[in-house]
Amino acid sequence: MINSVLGIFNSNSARISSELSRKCPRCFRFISSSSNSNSSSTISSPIKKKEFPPNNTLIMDKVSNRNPRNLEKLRIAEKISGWDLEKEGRSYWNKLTIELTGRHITAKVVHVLGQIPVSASTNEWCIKKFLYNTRDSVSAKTIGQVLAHRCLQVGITELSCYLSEEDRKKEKISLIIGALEDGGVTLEEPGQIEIPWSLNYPTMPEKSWEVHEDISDQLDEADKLLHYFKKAPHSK
Amino acid sequence: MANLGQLSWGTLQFIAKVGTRHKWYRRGVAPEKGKTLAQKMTAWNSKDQDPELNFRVNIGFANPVIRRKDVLEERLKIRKQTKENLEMEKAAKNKTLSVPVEEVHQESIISNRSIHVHQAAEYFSIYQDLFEDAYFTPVVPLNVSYTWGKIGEEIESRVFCGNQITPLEAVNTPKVSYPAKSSDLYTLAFTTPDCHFSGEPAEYLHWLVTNIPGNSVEKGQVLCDYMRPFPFRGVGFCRYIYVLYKQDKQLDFSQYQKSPSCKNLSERTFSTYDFYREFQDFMTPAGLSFFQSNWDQSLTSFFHNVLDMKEPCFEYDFKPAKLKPQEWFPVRKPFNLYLDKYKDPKVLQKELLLEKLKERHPFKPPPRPPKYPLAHPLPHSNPSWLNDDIRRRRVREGKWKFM
Repeated sequence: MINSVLGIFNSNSARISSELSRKCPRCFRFISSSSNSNSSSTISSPIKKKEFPPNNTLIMDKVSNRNPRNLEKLRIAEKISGWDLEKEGRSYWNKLTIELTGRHITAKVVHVLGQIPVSASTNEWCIKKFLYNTRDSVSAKTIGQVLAHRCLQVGITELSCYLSEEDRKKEKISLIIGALEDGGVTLEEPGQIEIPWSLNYPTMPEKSWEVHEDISDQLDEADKLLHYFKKAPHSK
Repeated sequence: MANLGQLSWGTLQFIAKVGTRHKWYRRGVAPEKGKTLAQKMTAWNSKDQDPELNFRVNIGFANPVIRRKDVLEERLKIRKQTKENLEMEKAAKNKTLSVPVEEVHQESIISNRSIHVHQAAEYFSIYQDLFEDAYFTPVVPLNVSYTWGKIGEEIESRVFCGNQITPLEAVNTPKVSYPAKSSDLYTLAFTTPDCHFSGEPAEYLHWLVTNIPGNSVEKGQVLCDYMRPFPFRGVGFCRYIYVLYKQDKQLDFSQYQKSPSCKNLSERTFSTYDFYREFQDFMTPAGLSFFQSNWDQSLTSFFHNVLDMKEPCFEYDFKPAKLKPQEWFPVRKPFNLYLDKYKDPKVLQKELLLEKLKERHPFKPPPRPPKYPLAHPLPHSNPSWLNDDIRRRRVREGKWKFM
């Protein structure tokens, strides 16, 4: 048994979730809209459209993203902290736990509120079927590979891992961790972004919701031209 | 500045007491009399887990139970074979045995009976946002895959349960497959519950095909044409959900008929809850798969050309800072920082800008920052607050940070 189970949070999940949602509402404020360069040229007059208002009139000041995992991805969600003087291992969104029992190897991803979105164990028939021994290093590596595959299927790409350096040197655990990292899961979770509480003087808060990936080479030529005339993203 | 003579006796006492240590007050009930943490938590949990309020209805099919008795013989046989297999033993001892992950995934669909999809759906609170107090077990494994890229170099992206797929990948109508008898009828709905324009909990309908005979989706009745996902800029990841319903008989969905290649967003506004409620006697949810998607560059032209609208841009709405009401005599607080805090931000920023312009020449590049900004000592004759301020300015800290 390497990582202890959650203890308090399992029983209290509903309470904390309501508290967290109160602290970080899922609201996004409207800031600007890049203008349509060729809106005047397009003619839109189907008969059915008259019943509904045109799309441009629909934009509201605020929209809410109800995806419960979104704020965690954007690093805005509350990361429960306050155990600075205790042994580390409680401040996380998703955590890796590994259990090595006499017969089986189990690895789980545990969410702060007690949910277990992903797990893999040699106990499952689908994994056991392909193994010779359920407790050897081959099975440890397999568990790492399968867990990484399942994590990506659920959209989990980062996990916090509170294993001591001694534990990490052990053969089976190092194999699990290595297989997870090869499978595309990072074993380090980014911290919560600091909210600018004093807004009186100019501050530059981190804007984790912005996308900077440039995919213009994958776009069609017509799309590229449009980009050329686009307004600056945050002009007011 | 108020005249000191006009102040009340209590205020004068307060000013006189600057720097004195105050008495320690106990907050709340004494620990011997108060409730323990465990007692408080049971009270909280009992409140949340009210059997009447938090009752959830199962609206789906019962998950087929695999009895141990039926499978055990076959499984033991396979285990015995692997134990007797010398090559496998050698490979396991030499640590060269490799397990195909994709086959494990296919096997887990059969043996775990889509429990992993159910777990993921709970993790993303899919049931709550689509069906409110109802849930179902996705008995039918629903495979959805998009093909995208240039002709000849097509790439396939599969939809699992919450994986990330960009809007560029999901441009074309996907391939949908699931195990089904040709005599059965199905309905497929593709919706998103996140980021409705109205700001209310509503959904957008991206695709609706009904009366599908077996698993040939092309032969179904298309009520709403496929539209690619369009998460707005700056709202992060939205969920896009495929739900497969099994119909008991041929149904008439004509009221959900949208105009061909419908582009109006208010026409596409949809509620899975109402839709299911209307046909619940003849329809049962059976399959589920979903993905997450974030804004990308390809959407700009989509908003402009297809939806014929300005591209909206959002940012996270942080709560505004809460300040205490300003005091006449802020005790033990640096007065200049205290006053800055309550100053009108526009006035403060104007002051900072004027200071910045003083340092810069209009036609020359900005001066290089000194390597050791605190090398020159500050005069002792200055008051400490002024020296602190100069020091902060030299190091570019606090309000001077973005000078």
